[in-house]
Amino acid sequence: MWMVFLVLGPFVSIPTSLHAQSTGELRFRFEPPQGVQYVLDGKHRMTDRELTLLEGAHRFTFWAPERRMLDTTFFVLAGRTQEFTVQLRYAVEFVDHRNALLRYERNRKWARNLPPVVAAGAAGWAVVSFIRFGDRHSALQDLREQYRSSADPEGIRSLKESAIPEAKDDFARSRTQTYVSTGVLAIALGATAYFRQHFARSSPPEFKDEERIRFEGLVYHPLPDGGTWAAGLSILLR
Amino acid sequence: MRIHAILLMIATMLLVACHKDELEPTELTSNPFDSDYVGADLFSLDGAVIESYVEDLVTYYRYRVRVRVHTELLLPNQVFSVRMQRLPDGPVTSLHSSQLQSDLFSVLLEDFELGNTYCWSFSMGNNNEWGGGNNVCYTVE
Repeated sequence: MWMVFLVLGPFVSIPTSLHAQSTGELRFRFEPPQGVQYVLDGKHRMTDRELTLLEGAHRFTFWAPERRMLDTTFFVLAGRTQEFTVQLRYAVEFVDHRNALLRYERNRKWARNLPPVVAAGAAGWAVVSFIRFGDRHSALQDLREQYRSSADPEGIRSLKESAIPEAKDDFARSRTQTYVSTGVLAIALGATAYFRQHFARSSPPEFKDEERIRFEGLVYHPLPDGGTWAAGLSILLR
Repeated sequence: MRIHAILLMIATMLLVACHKDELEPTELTSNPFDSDYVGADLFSLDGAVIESYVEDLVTYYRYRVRVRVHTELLLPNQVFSVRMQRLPDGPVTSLHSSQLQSDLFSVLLEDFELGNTYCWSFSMGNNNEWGGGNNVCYTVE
């Protein structure tokens, strides 16, 4: 007898308490704080943060822009107010998009800023090299004039054996430096022009919120003017 | 547009750089004071006169061979010395431009035979250093 009471006792007493306290209150704190919507029991699309529900299990599907849907079930206790913090994690698509956007911005920043900086440096280098190259050329011309006007055989020998070869080496070095610096300048200018045009034509990656589409497919939600007919298929994989 | 202008400027710089000629010491041979001098003769035979002189009551004959220094190959007012040696192994003497009244100087030919050709080597120089020069020959007739 005692065994029968122990087994059936709680079930016999439940209808009495359900009848007396049949509703309970849920309060939500959301993360993110704004923009969270949810579908209650697969029927009602809501944004309320406080709601009173019949006692028992209720299925919620939460969603917010850029966030992943969260399917969960809350058990409403009659006569009690329960507080829940619902934290929605970022959607994989949004994380990918954010990474792609960061990459795009980083590449854009480097591609727009680095070539002009290199070009400016190369321009300075090219100008200095060109001036130095002119000086070396003038030095060679001076030596040529010294040779032409000299009446000193020993001086001429010295010119031809040491002064002119050394000046020639300096001249060749400065000319090479001029070629290299102007080449770098030309490449940097070309890169500047290319990236400027490239980024003028390109646009940052756009975010397509796939979770929103899935979420909106969960329930028909009429617009204020009566809504429109729409057909959709949503396959919830989780 | 601005980049095009800069690229044009770069191309101009490179062209200018390409067209600046170098100086090759082995190609410098135009200075008469250069021992590697290659060019027109610096010295040439101007003529010769025979003259007689008496020494110890003996009359001798000798040729005074006139040699022209082509100073038009030198810069104006350029001083120079001339080194001369009768070939093949005569004594070496020199002469400074201040000793010349004109572009001519003479060398004496005292022991000669008719029909023979006698040559001298002349070099241009200064400070006992010698540059370009050439040989001058005279055939006694």
